[in-house]
Amino acid sequence: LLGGGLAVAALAVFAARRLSHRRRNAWPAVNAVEPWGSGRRVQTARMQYTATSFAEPLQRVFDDVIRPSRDLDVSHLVESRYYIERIAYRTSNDDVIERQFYRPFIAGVRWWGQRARWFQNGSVHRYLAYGFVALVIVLVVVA
Amino acid sequence: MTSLAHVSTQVLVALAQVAAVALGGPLLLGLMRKVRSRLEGRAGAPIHQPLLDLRKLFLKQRLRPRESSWVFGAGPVVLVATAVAVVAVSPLATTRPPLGQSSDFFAVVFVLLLGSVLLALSALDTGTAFGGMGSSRSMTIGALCEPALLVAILAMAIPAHTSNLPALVRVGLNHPAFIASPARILALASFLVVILAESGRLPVDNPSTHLELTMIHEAMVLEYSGPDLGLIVLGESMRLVFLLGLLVNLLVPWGVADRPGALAFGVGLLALGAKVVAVGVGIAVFEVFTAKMRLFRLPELLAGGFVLALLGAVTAVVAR
Repeated sequence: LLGGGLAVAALAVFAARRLSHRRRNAWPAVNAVEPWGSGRRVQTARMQYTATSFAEPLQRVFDDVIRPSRDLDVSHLVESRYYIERIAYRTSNDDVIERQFYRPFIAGVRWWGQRARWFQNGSVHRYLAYGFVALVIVLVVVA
Repeated sequence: MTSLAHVSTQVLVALAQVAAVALGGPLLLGLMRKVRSRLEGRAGAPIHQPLLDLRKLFLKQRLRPRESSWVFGAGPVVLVATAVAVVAVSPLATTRPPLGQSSDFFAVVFVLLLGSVLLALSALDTGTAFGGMGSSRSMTIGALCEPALLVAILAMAIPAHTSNLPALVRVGLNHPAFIASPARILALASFLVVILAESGRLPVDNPSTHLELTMIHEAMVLEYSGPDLGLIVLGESMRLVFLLGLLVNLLVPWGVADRPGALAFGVGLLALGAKVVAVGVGIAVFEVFTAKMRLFRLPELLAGGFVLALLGAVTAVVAR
């Protein structure tokens, strides 16, 4: 009942709105025109906002947390440095937690694994010595 | 137990609240503009000018950009529908609104958020750069103020042991000590900051700007005209009245109808109107003396709101 009542009310109102909206002018009444776009006459698909640009304000707000890596590549015209031929901009978000916590942690575990190889070098005498030391410790603890 | 009489009175209450907010929204906008104009030394348009504008807009032809899809038309409709649905079930004029047991503060916030998100999507649907810019900025501000709002609701819900809206208002009516508690005061201060951000008032967003690069909400509705624009203006004004009405009913609940009856309901409507007008005029006066903040200074303001809410929640937990 908690969300059901609200959902029913929302749906009812939604239906009413759509009906009243259509009755206002004769159907079909929606005319497709050029978008106004602040007076720009030529509108191409490249002027649209992409996912990167959509998230850019939020990324800028949390810049210290996300720490994205940015790469800007400007290539000038051969004839003159005042004219730019191409600009390539690359940005990538590396996972901070993975970089700061997981990778050092895994590196530490791997380092410890390398060190622990010394304990198992295949020599039977060393393994027998381990058993002897363990037996002595058990006797000391029990006594 | 619901009888026919009970159901019909609930429907009447819902319709009355919705009608009051739908009429009062544009009137409040007109009054705020009038107050700003007078303080700036101008005569200003009459208070009912937004109603005249709405009538003009609804009689116009419907247009849509060539490359847009059904999302463009759905945006304004869903915005108004969510506003109406939320107004119908909220304790604005009475503590017994229809479907009162399911009108939870969190649910109301998320229904309003649904309207904002769909409006942002429909702005992206137009394919223009300004639509994308407006929706990306609006979503950033929304992402920063929703946590503050949720923690403020938590701060108000912990002492009252419920997040049900009518129960919160009733608790304030019956125990005035609850209202003066630091948790609620801090939570309502944070709520005020969130209202300024959500409804696009100064210092977050200038609602009367003509410069596209400074627009946040206006850039989203740049491509809308005719009845769609009328629906958006109506929806936004209803959301403003609704949020202000919640704020005043949680802060100063006296006047809200607690008993069933038409007289009490009428008094409740009048009290709501008076309180919302007072807060609206206060906001308009505040707007005259404030400038719009830089877009990337806004996180500081919204973080301040979040800290207020967090302090309120901590106080609520500690002082239980």
